[in-house]
Amino acid sequence: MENSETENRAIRVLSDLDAAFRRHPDISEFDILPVKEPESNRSPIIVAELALGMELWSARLVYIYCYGKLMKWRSHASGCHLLHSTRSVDAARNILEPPELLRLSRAVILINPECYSIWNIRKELLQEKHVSVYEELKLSALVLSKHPKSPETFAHRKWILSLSCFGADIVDNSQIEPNQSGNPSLRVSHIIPRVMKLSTEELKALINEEMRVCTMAAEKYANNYNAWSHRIWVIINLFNCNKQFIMAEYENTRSYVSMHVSDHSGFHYRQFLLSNAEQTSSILQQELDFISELISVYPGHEALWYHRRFIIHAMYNLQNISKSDAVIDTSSSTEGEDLLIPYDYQTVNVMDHCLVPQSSKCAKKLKIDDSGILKSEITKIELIIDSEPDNSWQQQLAKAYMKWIKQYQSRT
Amino acid sequence: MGTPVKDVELKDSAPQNLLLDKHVAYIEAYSAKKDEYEYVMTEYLRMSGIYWGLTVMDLMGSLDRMSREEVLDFVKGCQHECGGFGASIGHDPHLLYTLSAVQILSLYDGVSSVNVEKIIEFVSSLQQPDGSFYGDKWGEVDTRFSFCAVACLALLKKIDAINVDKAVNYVLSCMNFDGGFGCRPGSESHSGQIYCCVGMLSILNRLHHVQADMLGWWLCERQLPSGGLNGRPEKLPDVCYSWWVLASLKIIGRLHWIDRDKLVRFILACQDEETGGFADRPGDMVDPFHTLFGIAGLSLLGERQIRGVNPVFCMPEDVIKRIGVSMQLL
Ligand SMILES: [Zn+2]
Repeated sequence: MENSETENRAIRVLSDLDAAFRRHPDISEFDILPVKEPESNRSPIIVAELALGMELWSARLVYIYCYGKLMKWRSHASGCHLLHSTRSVDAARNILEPPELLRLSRAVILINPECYSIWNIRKELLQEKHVSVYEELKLSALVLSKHPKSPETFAHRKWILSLSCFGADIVDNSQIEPNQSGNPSLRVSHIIPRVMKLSTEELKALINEEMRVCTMAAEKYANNYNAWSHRIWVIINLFNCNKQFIMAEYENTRSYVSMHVSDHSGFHYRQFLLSNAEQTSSILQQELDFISELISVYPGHEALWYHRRFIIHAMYNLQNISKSDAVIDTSSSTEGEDLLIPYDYQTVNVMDHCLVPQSSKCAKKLKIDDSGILKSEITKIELIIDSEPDNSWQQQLAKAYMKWIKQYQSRT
Repeated sequence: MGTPVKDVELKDSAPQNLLLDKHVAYIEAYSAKKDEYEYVMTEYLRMSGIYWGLTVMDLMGSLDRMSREEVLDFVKGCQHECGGFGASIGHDPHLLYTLSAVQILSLYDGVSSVNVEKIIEFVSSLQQPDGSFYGDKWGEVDTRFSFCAVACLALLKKIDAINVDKAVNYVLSCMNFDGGFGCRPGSESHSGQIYCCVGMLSILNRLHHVQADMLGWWLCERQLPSGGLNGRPEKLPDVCYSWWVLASLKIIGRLHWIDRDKLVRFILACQDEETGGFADRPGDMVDPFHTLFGIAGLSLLGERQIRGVNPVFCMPEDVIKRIGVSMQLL
C-alpha cells in the first residue's frame, strides 16, 4: 500500500524522534514547542542539553500516524476480545513487532499520556520483557516532565513499582482505621504484609527516585493532587509507613512548603506524615509555631490557614487521648506517655456524634479543653483579625478560621 | 501589597442569560464534526464524551437531535468478552467507560441490547478483599472506581453482586478530618472524590457515616468572591465544580448553604455567546464536559428551563425514576 505524503512526513519525524532517543539516552525533559507550521527544512525534533523539544505541527502528524497504527493493530490483530468481534480476515497484515510497538507507543504517550490503552500495550510488553522496568520508569518520568499531573502516568508507575517490589499485580492494601462510624483519620493501619522482592538498598534507591519524581512534578504544577497522592501511596504500600523515613520526609518537606506557601497538597502531605509519625505534643507545638510564622510572613494564603486547622485538631485530640488513656487504661499503654494516636474514634472522635445531641455515645466521650488550646487559639486569632486591614484577604481567612474553631469548640 | 486570592473577575460584558438554543446547536455540531486531531486526541474518552453530550441534550429537552441507532451500535461494539466497555473501538475495558456505557444505555432505555450478565461479572470481579475497586485488570485503585462500580450496579439493579459492607468501609477509610474524602487512604480531600464517595454512600443508604455539617462547611468554603466554586483550597473556580460541589451539598441536604445568585452569575458568565457551550472559566474554550456540568449545576440551582437532574447519577431525574433506582438524600 502506498503511503500518503502526510504519512511519509510523519514517518520521517518519528524516525528523528527515535534517533534523538538513541543519541541522547539521558534526556530528562520533554516539551511541545508552540510552532504551528513548519518554518524551515530543519527537523522539528530538537535536543538541547537534556531537553527534548517537538514542534507542535509535527506532534499532530506523529500522533495521528502512531495512534492510528496502534489502534488498528489493537482492534484487529492483538489480544482484543470484543464481544461482537469486528476482527478482519487480514489480521496478518496488521502484525506489529514489539520494537515497533514500543516506538509508536512512546510517541503517543509523550503527546497524550491519558491514552490509557497505549500504556496497557506497554505493560504487556514489559511483562513479556521487551522493555525493562528501568526504561519504563525513565520514560514515564520524562512524560511527567511535560504532563506533571497525568493520572495515567502515575498509575503506570504504581503498576511497575508493585511489580518490581512484589512481583504480582498491584494491590493497594492499605486501610486507614477500619471503621463503621466515619472516623476521619490519616493514620494508616492494617497493612497486609507482602513479601518484598527487593533488598533494602534496592528498595531505598527505588523510593528515593520516586520521591525525586514526585517533587519534580509538584514543582512543575502547584497543588498537584496526583503527585502528592502518589507519594503517599508509595510510603504506605512500598515502605509500610516506615517511621524513620516518615520523620526524614517531615524534615525534608519543611523547606518545600516554606517556599510553596500556597500549595495545599504539600501541606496535606505534612498532615499525612504527622499522622503517621511517632510523636509527641512537642512536635505539634513546633508545627504550630512553624505555621504561625508562615501566616505572619506570608499573609493571605488559604493553605496555611487550612493547615493550622489540622494542627489544632491534632493537638486537641492528643490532649484528650492522653487524658482518656490515663483514666481508662493505664496498663496497656507501653508505647510512651505522650504518644499521639490521632483521632482513634473509639477513644476520642466525638465530633460527628456530638452533632446529634441525643447520641448516647456522646456523653461518654465528652472532651474538655483542659489545656485551653482552643481558648488561647481564639485569643491569638482575634489579635490577627484586629491588626489586619478591613476586608483584606488575610482578615477574611482569619475570620473563616475563627468561625471554624468556634464551631469546633461548640462540638466539644 | 496584592492579595493572592486565586479567583477570576466577572466582566460586565459577560453573558447573563441562559443561551439554551446555542448550547443545543453546539452539542449537535460537536458530535457531527470529526475534525481530525481533536477528535483523535479525545478518542480515549469517547464513551464518556457521548454520555456528556447525550445527558446535556436530554436535560435541555433535545435528545431527539441525536442518533439513537448510531450511538447504541457504537456502545455495543465497545463491549469486551470480559463484560467491560472500552472508551472506543480498540480501547481496553475500564470501569470509567463501563459506567458511561451503562448511563448511555439507561438514557436510551437500551440496556437489553448488550450482555448485562457480563457487565455485572466485570464490575464485581474488580472488587478487592479490602472492599476497594480496581479500575481495570491492571490494578489502579481510586474511590472514583468505587462510585463507578456501585452506580453501574444500581442502574442494572444488581447491587448485591458485590460486598457492600466492605465497599463502604473502604470509602470511609478515605475520609479526612475536614469531613472530605480523597482518592485513597491518606489522600487529600477533593470535591470530585467527595462527590463520588458521598454519591456511593447515598446509593447504598449509608449517609449516616458522613459528617454532614463539617463536610458541608468545607464544601461551602469552595465558593470564591466571584461566586464560582473551586474543587480544593487554593484552586481557581471552575464550572465543573458547580456540579461536584453542588451535587454533594444536595445529597447531604445543605445546598442552601451557598450563595445561589452569585454562583448562577458565575456559571452564566462561562457561556460562549458565539459558539454556545460552557468553558471552565469565563473566556476560556468551551467543551461538552463543562457544558454538561454547567447545565446540570443550573438545574440543581432551580433553573426552570432545564429538566431536573439527579444529584447522584448526573442523569435526568425522570430517567432515574423510570428505572426505579432509589437513593438516600439527607
Ligand atoms: Zn473543570
